[in-house]
Amino acid sequence: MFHALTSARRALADRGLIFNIHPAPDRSVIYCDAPEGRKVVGLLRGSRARYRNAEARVERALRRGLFTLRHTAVIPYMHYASSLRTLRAYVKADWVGAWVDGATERRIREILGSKAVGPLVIKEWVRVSLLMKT
Amino acid sequence: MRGVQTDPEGVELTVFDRLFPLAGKRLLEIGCGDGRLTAALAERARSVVALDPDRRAVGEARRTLPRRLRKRVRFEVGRAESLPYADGAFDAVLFSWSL
Repeated sequence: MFHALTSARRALADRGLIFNIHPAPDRSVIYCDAPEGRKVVGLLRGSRARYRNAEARVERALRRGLFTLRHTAVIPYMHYASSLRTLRAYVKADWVGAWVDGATERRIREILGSKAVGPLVIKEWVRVSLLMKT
Repeated sequence: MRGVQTDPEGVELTVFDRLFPLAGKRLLEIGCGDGRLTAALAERARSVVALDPDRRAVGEARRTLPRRLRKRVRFEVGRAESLPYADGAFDAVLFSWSL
């Protein structure tokens, strides 16, 4: 996918901008919204290697002088699910190689009851970078 | 997906508006998926080419784009590694969870 950056650079006008948004390597946290407030119930499991690789691609493009970095930040990005069943299906369908582990599921059931219906939240950290073509 | 809300706070678009000025720009959106962001981008940019390798997702994006934006957006199935566009064809490129 490094070629995607070089390919995009060719398609850009002089001083054109690339805005890149992708998950940061930091682990995503799962919360349960209990009556007494939001509680951490676990971390989303799975490899974060592909996100580290995405960061490395941007760094490589910068080192090669293809772009200058105008801005970068890591920001929180939220996903809300209405039940444990929905959360599990969402993670399976939309997240590559990620899963909710058994201990997290048990904590969710302790808070929401055996059917585990209620608001669940994934807080993901995403990297945003603004690059300018040199 | 039913029962799921992603970024209802609109953090992503807030960041775009703050950092990524699109007014008057020719934008290439790489990784448009089912068009989750495409309409909002088309509201801001002069034109959008929205690209994704998933033909089914591109079909869904095309189907759900508001009619009033259709002249401003072109959907294409393709991969970022081999972009078929002329040099300098765009003022801005968005990699949306796709790098």
